[in-house]
Amino acid sequence: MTAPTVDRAASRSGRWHIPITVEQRAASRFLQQLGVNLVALVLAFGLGAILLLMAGDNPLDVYREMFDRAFGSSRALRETLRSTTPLILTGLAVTVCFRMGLWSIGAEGQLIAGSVAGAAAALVLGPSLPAPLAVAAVVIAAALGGAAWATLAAVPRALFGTDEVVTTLMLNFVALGIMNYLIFGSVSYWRDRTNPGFPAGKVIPESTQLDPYFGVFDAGLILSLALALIVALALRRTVWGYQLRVAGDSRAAASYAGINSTRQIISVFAVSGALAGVAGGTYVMSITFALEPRAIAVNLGFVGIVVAAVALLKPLLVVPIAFLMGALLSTAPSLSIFGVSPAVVIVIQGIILLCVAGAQFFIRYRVRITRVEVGSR
Amino acid sequence: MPQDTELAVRTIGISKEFFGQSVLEDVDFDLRWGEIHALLGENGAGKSTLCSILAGLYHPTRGEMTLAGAPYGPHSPHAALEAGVGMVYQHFRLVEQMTVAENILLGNPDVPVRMTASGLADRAREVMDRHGLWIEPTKYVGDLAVGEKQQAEIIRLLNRGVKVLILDEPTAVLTPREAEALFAALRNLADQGRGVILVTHKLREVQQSADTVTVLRSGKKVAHQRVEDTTTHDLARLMIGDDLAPGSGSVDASHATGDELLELHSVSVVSDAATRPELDGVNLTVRAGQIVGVAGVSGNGQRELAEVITGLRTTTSGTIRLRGEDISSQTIGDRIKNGMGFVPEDRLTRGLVLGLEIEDNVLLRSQRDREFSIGPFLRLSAINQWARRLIDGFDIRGVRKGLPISVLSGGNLQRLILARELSRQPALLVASEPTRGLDVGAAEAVRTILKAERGRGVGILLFSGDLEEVLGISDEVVVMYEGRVVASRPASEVDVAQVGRWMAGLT
Repeated sequence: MTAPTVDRAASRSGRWHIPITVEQRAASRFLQQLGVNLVALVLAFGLGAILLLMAGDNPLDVYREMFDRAFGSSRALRETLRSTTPLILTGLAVTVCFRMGLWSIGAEGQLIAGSVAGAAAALVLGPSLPAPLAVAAVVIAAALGGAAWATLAAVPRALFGTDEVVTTLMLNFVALGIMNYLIFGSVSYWRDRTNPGFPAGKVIPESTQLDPYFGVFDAGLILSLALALIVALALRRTVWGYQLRVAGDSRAAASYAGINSTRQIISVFAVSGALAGVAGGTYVMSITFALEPRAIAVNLGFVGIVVAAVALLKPLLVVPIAFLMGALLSTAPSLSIFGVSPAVVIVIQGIILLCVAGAQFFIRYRVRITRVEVGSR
Repeated sequence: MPQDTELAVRTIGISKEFFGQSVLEDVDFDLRWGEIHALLGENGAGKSTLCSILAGLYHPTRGEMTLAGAPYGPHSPHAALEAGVGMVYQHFRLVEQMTVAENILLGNPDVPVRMTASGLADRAREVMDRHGLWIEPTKYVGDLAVGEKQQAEIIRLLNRGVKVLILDEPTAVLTPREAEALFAALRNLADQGRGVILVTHKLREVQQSADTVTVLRSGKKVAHQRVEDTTTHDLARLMIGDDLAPGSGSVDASHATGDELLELHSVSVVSDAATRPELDGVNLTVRAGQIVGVAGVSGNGQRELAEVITGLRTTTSGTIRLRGEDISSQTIGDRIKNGMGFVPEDRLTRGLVLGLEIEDNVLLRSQRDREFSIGPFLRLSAINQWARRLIDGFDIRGVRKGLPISVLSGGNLQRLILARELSRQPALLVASEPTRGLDVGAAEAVRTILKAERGRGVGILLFSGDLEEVLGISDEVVVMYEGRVVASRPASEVDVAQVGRWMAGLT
């Protein structure tokens, strides 16, 4: 007596005569999933084109310009790669949580926490340490900062089942508020005190500023690539990653397997937070060079959710997707010169997320058009 | 209530198949107006299926139905309700976040779209007065006791003009006093001329509150009688069947039972003080090389007992010892390490991780084993080899590289769980419904494996709804009723009829 679904479907279509059958796929191949998502990406740019047409722009011109701005020169490529680094890291942060079915949307706040901690480490230790050590110290401090911020949401989730969507979202605003306060609302350690009239972050010492190799990419990108590899290996080849995957698929099976859910939830959140925190730390070291709220809080954490979703929660796929999104982001400022609002980029991102989210339906289900027999009920 | 004919509902030759498997065969069933008609049978006898067909949730594969003499074939629960047939499911169809009044009037076409809370409450009061039932209409359903929720559900159906009321195991969740109140209410509804169908497996309830009883066994109707013409003894025999020879147990002297392996001493589980305890002072012993079979109608504490032994649930009081060591407060991981194997009842959601591949599934519960991990790292090649050995050794078919195990068939999935749990060479195996849903051959293979393990000195605690299976391979039979162990005998000393009576709560 375990087959009510079939009958219910029958009674439903019996009432409405919908000539479409939706069947769950037994399993879908990885390439199939990827293909569906790529189609969704193309569709998103197509819908974006319609939007541009409606605004009176020629979508082909805009897209060509965007392409040039993202890849056209080594300077353009450097900008793209600079945006790619934090997106790889926030994409990984989101991937780790989502794979366990923890719907954390707190990468934004954890990135900010990492920036604050990383900038502090740079300002304190930067002058006295040799460059490699100083950079390492900033990375570690940023990781710890992000992890600590994530733990604030993880502990209530693990102990009381508090909804992590709400707590992580709200903690984003708390982190943003704190960062704004440090620079705009107080004369804190992070603020540049030489110019009291103009609130700005104190510039970090040169030993912690990352220079691009060959004028194109910096150590932050290498670190993020290494972390993508490490996360992929950890998921595949460690007990921790195994337990995460089991818990993500079935909580009941996880408890049956003797997995301590409290410990697992907190550790997954902490790792996720650390990754987002490192995103903040490297962002300060390679782009802002100071705790600059307006440059740091640019939704890199939220875009990380898009990256992770499009990458099907596969750590290694996060890299190319982050590159694509990074390219999209780096074109935004230049579009205004072209007479197109930078908001177009955000709109296209939103459309991409919608298309990809919608596409998941076709990964899970097969849709067939069926002929209705006349007179059937 | 004006009635066209004496018969409220009649089914003629109703059959139902799920995926080619027959669960109801040629069932004729008559319900008169004004009677409480008990539908009696073991789990899987087809009671719920028959009721679901009457309530429009399923469609019969064959057969016809009439309602008040007119042809009746609801294509949805909604259509059944329009026709006047309503069902109270075991899981109530109520919105916990809404008030009683809102729930009662929900979906009622006469209620205006905009109505004040007090207006709704007044309407609900009026409805309740009309039917002689009462629950404070402004209370939130989430705050109600189980019995009250059930009443709210009944009132909701009555308000929709239900003439035939079907209740699926309504007392399963009730305290004795709540059950009494329910039966009084049902009697009142029957006296008003409605037809009431009461699905149950409790003989005492049939005797106390029904007028007529229809007994189903394995999807077929085996009896239809007036309750006053039967005895509980007869009903137990009809329900369980008497085709099993008494003492068909397998006990042969060839294997010696060893020391006490698992000992439970007055183990109780009370999750909610308002209802009866899930487990009530259970004493139980499993020896090495012994199969102890737990019989009982499902929902009498078997699931909780399995969970408490394996660590999925904590005891409220009492001790559990494994090889002399108190494990009552040990984690699941520790119990696994101490030699406990567990084949859970929910094999698809708990026993396996359907979205992952076979390697991940053979590793389940062994991920901390030295053989498969060094410190934090998994030994992937060892795991792969192990998976291949289990696939070959237990003839698991349909595995495809790179695809999740959800592509495997039910029998292969169950073999996979058994293979995994037994390959760890446990001292004690707790097996819940290990053959449910398997075809005859696969089920027999599982039983052969269990017997072989017993021969090797493994102690096995077998939970099964299949009485034939319990009596067939157990050395010792334990019967559970309402969270208590009501009997514990060597399998050779009991017969099916006796066990059936114990299962039904008789002594």
